[in-house]
Amino acid sequence: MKVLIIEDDQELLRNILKYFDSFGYVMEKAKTLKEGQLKIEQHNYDCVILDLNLPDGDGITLLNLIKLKDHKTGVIILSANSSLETKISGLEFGADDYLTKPFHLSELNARVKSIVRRNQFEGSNDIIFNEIKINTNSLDVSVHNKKIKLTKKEYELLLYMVINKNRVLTKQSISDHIWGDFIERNASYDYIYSHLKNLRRKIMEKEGKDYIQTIYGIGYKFSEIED
Amino acid sequence: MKINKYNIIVISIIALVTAGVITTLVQLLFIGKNNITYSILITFLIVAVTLFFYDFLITKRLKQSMSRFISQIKQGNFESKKSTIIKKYDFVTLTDIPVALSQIVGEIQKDTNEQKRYIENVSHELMTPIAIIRGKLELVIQSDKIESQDLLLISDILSKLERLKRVNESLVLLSKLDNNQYPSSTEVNLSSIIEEILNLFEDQIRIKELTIKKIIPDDFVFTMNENLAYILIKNVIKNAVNHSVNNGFINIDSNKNKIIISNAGLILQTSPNKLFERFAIGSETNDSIGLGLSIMLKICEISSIKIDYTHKKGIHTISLKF
Repeated sequence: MKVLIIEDDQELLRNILKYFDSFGYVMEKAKTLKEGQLKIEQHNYDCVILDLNLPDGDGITLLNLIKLKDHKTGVIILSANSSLETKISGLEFGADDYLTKPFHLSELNARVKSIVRRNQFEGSNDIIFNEIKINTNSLDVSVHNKKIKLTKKEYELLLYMVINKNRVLTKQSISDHIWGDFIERNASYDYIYSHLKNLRRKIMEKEGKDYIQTIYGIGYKFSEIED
Repeated sequence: MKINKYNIIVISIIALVTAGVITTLVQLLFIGKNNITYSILITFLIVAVTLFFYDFLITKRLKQSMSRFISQIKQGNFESKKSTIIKKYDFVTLTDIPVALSQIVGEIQKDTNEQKRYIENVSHELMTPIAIIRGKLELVIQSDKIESQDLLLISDILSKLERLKRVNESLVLLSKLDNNQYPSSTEVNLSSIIEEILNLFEDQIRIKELTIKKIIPDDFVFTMNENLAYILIKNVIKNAVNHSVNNGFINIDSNKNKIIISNAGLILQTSPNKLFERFAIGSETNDSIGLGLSIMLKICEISSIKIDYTHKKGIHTISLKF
């Protein structure tokens, strides 16, 4: 998978590259509108992460070019402006998704994966982690080929964790992803725990392994069990 | 004090005419043998002096009140440009006032535009560093070498960052409300918005084991900005959920054009009026930033909704009169 990031902030760029590092994507970067334009003209990308506020202009002007080159290229807009109006106009210009700063790196990863899945495979895609299989088209989940019945939140939770596998996910990022950022949080995040507990139980009932680790004080991690 | 030359001419003419009229009247009534010119002169002088004195007093009072008015404006918004303002608003005649006022309005318009740009810039400038710090911390916690005590420290930093982000977002929203950036309004169904938001909070409601009772006609509509309706209801319900005691209740009731939301919470420590001030925090039950109520108040103000809060023995009631 080939991803282009057009972002002028050096530090933000470095964060994204580092987080995406071990997921096996081919990452390319551009720091200006011009540089980005050049790269888009020369190469094909599965996904472009596009900051709107670039030193030499508004990133939105690149949207047309990207979609003209290859309409399957997914575009995620990054913006510091959280107002609904900018969000809507970004999507009207042909972006696939819109992410407001400050975002979680794990959230950006989930969005990239979701868009690429949607645009490239026309929806027929299974995500497999050992004995666990998630069909993102029918929303079915099976363990050892036995179907398990998950609630919408449990499904979202599992998908988010599998996509960000081997990464520590903060409770905050999980909460933002599933519940949206409207909730006035209290430090405990009890509601995440109660859904995770059910998810764990349902997987283990079908003899699936417990891949969900609790990382004390911070959050959770979905990863291979080390012996 | 200088008496304007126009004033002198006007007063002289009035005095002359009045003197003439009065003298003629006196002459007609008493058919006097006195010198007519002499009596005209005396009357003219009396009337003229009275008018000048009157003019003097009026002008003085006008000037005093004007300078008070100006000094009030000066203390308000124009601190940085003090000197030019004082010179410009040294009123001499009444005709200066419109000129001066239009200058003030111009300044205010300039300031308002500046403020809007400033808010946008602040929002952008703060969100990027917050994104970077949060990203770095997300990367740090991936390391195997990190001790669990350190994870707790990082968790604290993350939650403070989250707070910073929320304060920033809320302040931006408040300024947008102040600047009236939500003009469009449509007919919104409040009953379905309430239903939708209750669904969003279902986990908190379940964990706190709250009993929800909602009695609102399905066609309860009101014409206002839809986003604002959503934010308002969200804040009201969020408050009710967050400040509820475990096993408590939330009642959502309606009465003609009123929606009344009450919940069982702790007994209030601060005065209810103080709660609506920015950054006022009533209790320590959660990580509140104290801007929710002023956002609600502002939305109600611009949507002409009357909001009322009462508290009685742990029962908190918010009523919205549409």
